[in-house]
Formats: sequence, structure tokens, C-alpha cells
Amino acid sequence: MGVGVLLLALSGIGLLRPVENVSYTVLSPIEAALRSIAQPIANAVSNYGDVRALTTENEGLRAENERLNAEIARLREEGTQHEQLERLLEVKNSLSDQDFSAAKVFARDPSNLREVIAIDRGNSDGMRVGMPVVTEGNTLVGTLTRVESDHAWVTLVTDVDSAVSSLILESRAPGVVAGGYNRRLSMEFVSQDSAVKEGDTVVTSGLGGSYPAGLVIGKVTGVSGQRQEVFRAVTVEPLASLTRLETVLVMTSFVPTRLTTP
Amino acid sequence: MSYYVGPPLILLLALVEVSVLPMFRISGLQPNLVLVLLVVWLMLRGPKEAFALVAVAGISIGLVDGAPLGTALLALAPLALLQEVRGAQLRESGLVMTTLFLLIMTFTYHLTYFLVFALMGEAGSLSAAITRVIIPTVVLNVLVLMPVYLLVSLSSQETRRASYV
Repeated sequence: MGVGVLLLALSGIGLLRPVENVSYTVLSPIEAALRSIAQPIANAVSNYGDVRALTTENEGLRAENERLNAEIARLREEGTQHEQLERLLEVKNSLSDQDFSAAKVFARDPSNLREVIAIDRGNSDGMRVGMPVVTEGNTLVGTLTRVESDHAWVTLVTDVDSAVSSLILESRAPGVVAGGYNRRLSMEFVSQDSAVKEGDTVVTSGLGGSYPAGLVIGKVTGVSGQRQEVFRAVTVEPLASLTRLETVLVMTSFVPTRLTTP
Repeated sequence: MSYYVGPPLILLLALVEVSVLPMFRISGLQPNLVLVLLVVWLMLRGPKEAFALVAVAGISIGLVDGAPLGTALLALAPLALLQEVRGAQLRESGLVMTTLFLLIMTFTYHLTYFLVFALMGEAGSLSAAITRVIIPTVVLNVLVLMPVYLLVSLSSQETRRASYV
């Protein structure tokens, strides 16, 4: 082993190059002859072996490819979920400076034409018209539209009169989330060139000053619209279960901005 | 008896409408229990009792719902007009006539609310309101009508018998 290491070292520094050259000159023709004789046999054996090896290798590669594709898909999904969770965490952290007041929902407007609920907090508890209302998970529920001394009415985002400046969290595409008589949300004024897809998260944009930015509204459940149309038709599923609200949080520290003309 | 039972019952139903029924909404819609009861009451027990209850109902609903006070009373007022249409046909009043009256009343009730909301600038498209809210609510009200009609009918046999005399 010591000799071998020594020779390797000497070869490495070039001291053995003349010896190597002589041996190559003398031995190469013999090597060539032997190769030419053995080549057909080797080829035959090799081809036969290659077919089997290639078939086996191909099967292995296919399985490996399939496994890797599945792994890539899983990692992509995990990455997306991780990104979404990070964004939601950012949203949650961004609201840590807000003050909330918990309120119990005790009634709902019986008129099927409106989506309005009553909460057990009023003027005496610091409630003011325009304050945003969220769920315990910080998902937007609506806004206070009528405040009495000991209770208040909250107009839900699904109400026909509700319109919230919003944006798609993933692509930052802006729009306005509006309610309707079908109890569904639609995101309007989303331009055709916006990248919007099912599953995207819709949050408040803060434009207009009626809501703080970053409140989660819902998830995109459908995107349609012809190319020639100016805007895309985007349907949004509210993230909060608005039909079964029991307790809500009123953002008492948020004062809506009343914009004046410039 | 109805003057003692009717008003508390109407108030109770108005409260049920805002607190209990919303938990059992079908496609976001709920029946108008008070309206159904009033129509049935009018058809089975006559206008004298029904009109007194309309006032109680209008105020009760107005106090508990989110619309301006008086909207419900205004929306229920056409019941009086229906009574005029109905005329003296009390004895012939049956389930079919009651269903027809309920259908008309559901339309006028919601259209009144729609008008009030529109004046307040809080209403959407009328066609959407009719197709997505009013017509489905008519169906719900008719479904609720059957048991209500049966109950009021059973409790009104004495009154009806007297009216035939």
C-alpha cells in the first residue's frame, strides 16, 4: 500500500510520465488487436445484457419517476400550504395591535331580504357605527351599521348592500367583494389579466378606509368570464360560518376613515 | 279567548322568527311564521280578531327585527285589503283560498320591505329579490301553512261553528 501511495504521488507530480508514455506506445497496438477480436462477442453479450438491463432499468426509472413526481407534488402542496399559513400568521400578527370586544349574537333579521344580525353590545360598550366585526378566527363577518344603547346590528358581508374592497392574497389582484340575494359572495371588478384560481384566499385590501387591510374574507370557489369581458366573474365562499354565528369580535380600536373628495 | 292567546302567541312567534328560525334556514331562507299565522287566523277566525293581531304583529316584529319600526306594520297592512276582496265568503274559506291569500301576502309583504330598503338605499335588484328570495319564501310559507292551518282549524272549531249559525 505504501508503494502504491508513493507511485500515485510520483505520478501526480509528473515524475512517472516518461514511463507511462513508453508503455502506452508499446502496448496500445496489442490492446487494439485484442479489442477488435473481442468486440463482436462483447457487443453480442452486451446487447443481450443491455436489453434486459435497460428493461429493468427502465422499469426502475419509471417507478422512480413516479415516486419523484409524487414527492414533488407533495412538496409543492406543502410549500403552498406553508406559504398560506405564513401569510395567515402575518395577518394574525398584523392584527395584534387591535382591541376587540366579544359580543354574543342573539338575533337575526327575519326578513329574507337582508343579512343582518344583532349583538348584545351597544353604545354603552363603546360600539360605534362602522366598526368591523370578525369571528374568533379573525375572519371578516361584517360591519356595525346600527348601534343602540345596549345592542347593535351587524350587516354581514353576504348582505346585498355589502361591498368590501379586497384583494386576492396570492396574486394581489384587487377587487370588491359584494353580497347578494343568493347569500353568496362575488368578487367584482377583477381584471381579465389577473391571475386568480380556485382556492385562492381573499382578504380585505384596506382601500377606502372602511376595513383594516388583511382580514380574511373567504376562498375563491369559481372563476369565469369570457376573454372579451372586461372583468372576471369570481365567486367567493365566506371562510366564516355566517349562518351559525354565536360569538363575534368587534374591532373597537378601528375607526373607519371617512374619505373626503381630494 | 283569542284576545288573551293571540297577542302573546304573536309576540312569541316574532321572537322565534329572529332567534330560532335563523338556525334552521334552508338555503339562507326562513318562513314568515307570523305572516302565515295571521293569514290563517284571518281566514279561519274572521277579520275582527285578525286585525287586532295584525297591529300586535306589526309592532312585535318591528321591535325585534333590524328594519325601521313600522316597516312590518306597513307590510302586513294589505291583509285588510285582502279581507275586502274576501268579502263575506267566510264560510267558503278553505285551504285553497288561504294558500292563495298567503301567496299574495308573501309577495306584498316582501315587496313592502324591499321598497323600504330601496328608499334607504339598501336594496339590490328587484328581479333578483323576486327570483332568489320572494318566490322561494312563498314555497316555504306554503309548506308551513299546512300544520299552522291544521292547528288553528282545530282550535277554531267553536268559532267556526258559531259563524255558521
